[in-house]
Amino acid sequence: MNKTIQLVNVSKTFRRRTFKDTILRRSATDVIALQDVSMSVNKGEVFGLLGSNGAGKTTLVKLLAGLITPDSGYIKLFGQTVNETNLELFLSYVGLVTGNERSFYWRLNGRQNLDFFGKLFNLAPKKRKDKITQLLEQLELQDIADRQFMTYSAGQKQRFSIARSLLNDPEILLFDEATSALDPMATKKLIMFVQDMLVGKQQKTIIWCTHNLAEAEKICDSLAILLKGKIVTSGTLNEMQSKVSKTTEYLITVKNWQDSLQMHFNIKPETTEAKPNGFSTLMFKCLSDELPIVLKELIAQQVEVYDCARKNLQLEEVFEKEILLNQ
Amino acid sequence: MKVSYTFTNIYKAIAFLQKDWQVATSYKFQFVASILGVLVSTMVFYFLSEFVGKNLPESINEYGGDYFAFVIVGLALTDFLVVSTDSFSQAIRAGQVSGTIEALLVTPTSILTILFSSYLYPFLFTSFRVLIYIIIGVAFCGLQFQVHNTWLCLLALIITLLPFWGLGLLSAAFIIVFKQGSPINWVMGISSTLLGGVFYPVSSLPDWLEPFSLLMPLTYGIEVMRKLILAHATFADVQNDMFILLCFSFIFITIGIFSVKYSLKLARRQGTLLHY
Repeated sequence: MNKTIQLVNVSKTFRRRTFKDTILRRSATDVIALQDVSMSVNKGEVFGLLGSNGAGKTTLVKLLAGLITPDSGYIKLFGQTVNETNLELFLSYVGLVTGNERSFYWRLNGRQNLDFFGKLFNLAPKKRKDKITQLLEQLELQDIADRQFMTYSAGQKQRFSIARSLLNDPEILLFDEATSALDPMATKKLIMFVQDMLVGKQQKTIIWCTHNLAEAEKICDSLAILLKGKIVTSGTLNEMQSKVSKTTEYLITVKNWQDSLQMHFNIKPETTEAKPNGFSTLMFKCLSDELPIVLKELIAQQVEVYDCARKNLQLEEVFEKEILLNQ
Repeated sequence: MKVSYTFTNIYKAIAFLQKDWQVATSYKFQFVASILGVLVSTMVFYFLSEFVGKNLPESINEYGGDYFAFVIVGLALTDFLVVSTDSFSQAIRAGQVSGTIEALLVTPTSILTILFSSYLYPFLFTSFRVLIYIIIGVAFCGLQFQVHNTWLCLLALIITLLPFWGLGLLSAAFIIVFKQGSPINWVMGISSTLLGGVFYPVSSLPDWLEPFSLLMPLTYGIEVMRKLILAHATFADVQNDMFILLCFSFIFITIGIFSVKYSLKLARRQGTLLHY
């Protein structure tokens, strides 16, 4: 696979020393933001960074955007190590969307803001104008584009932030709590835009930082959970589910079930639930290669099997388990 | 490659100029008030010069003997120097407070391009203010104003501004690291007004204070500009002062560029770019 982003053993510690510390000659407090973080993201992938507040998500995004530098380790974009010399060149390939709506000129209107930033991305006049028109349309901002920025709602400002990040058509997009100011409908629209347009059509590589697990589950191809600056687990949701729990839950819908039959089973159902018309739902917790044994035993007891569904752990459950395991 | 890089920076500088113009004109009252401010200060110095007109010290004679013209040149140049020292740090401070500095730094634009481009609008606005000083002076206050060697005057103005760009960059570096209260602007403002010879010739200073004025780039800048504009001096008359200004420029600009780059590196390391 074509690795677009790679982080190798990246660590970052912030040293905080207050004026009082200096006066009292106290040593500075070290805040570990990232600790030996290694990860890679392939082209066209949406990679979710999950974690509670202060886990290190924003630090990681700022490192990728070149706004802070790592203490140790290195970052590779498109296979090349990013350093101070080539940082400016790489910035052309990275777009940043934050939940920070302050980063615009509030006295200018939305179109003027986009035009200004378009010039800083070296877009030629015709291309810039066309791109702005296209983005305003795609993000449904064309009707309000000529109003002063300060008059926009939080959601509208957020959409302008997304439009700005797409001005130079970057290969990599960093979304840091990008939906924090959006209502559920606007969030849904943004997720569809990212999936259909940015990933589906344009094959962009996306880092999606959030603490909204349902949102991450919807949009991300693979995920990493950050806890106190460390990646505690990563992979696809299925991989993460298997790491957290070796056994899988199976919901089997049957007819003719009687609780007295349990004694004939080597693997007994965890729960049973009677349904109308003689149906019952049995929940078995077993390894995936034990499932045929369960089914054979059911058939041997003259129980009719109508359905067998694997019950996946929700991301929220994975997240909770990982946090508990690592605390 | 180099030509394209220069062109790109000019393109970005024009973008900043246009943006700053749009922002400035959106504050209509402030825009008009700043023009009125020029009118008022010009009138104040005209009346002051009328008041002291008959009792001028001899040292004014070598600059044409007109106190109003003497002060106007000093004030105009001080305006340029203040804007040169302050604009860089103000651009950083405004970016930190408004949150735009981060957005600017994720574009492929160097910090020096951002700083010098942010300087353009205040510089041009100051030029406009100075022009108004002169127009009011000539039209209403009888200012005798004849520039004999325009190119030499412009060259002298640029050489006079260079050390202040260096100090401005140093001040911006201070703001990047410490966020506010750059002492450089304050020290330069106070010492230049006291020692630079804006309102009186430095020869009027007490003997013990006069040598300190020689450490101020403003002293040489004002001297050169007054000699060129008011005493119609030639290049030979001002070349020594211009050489000293070039030396100041080399030292301050080198320190300024180094400080800004280092401060940005430090802020990136400490993660404090957006702190304010």
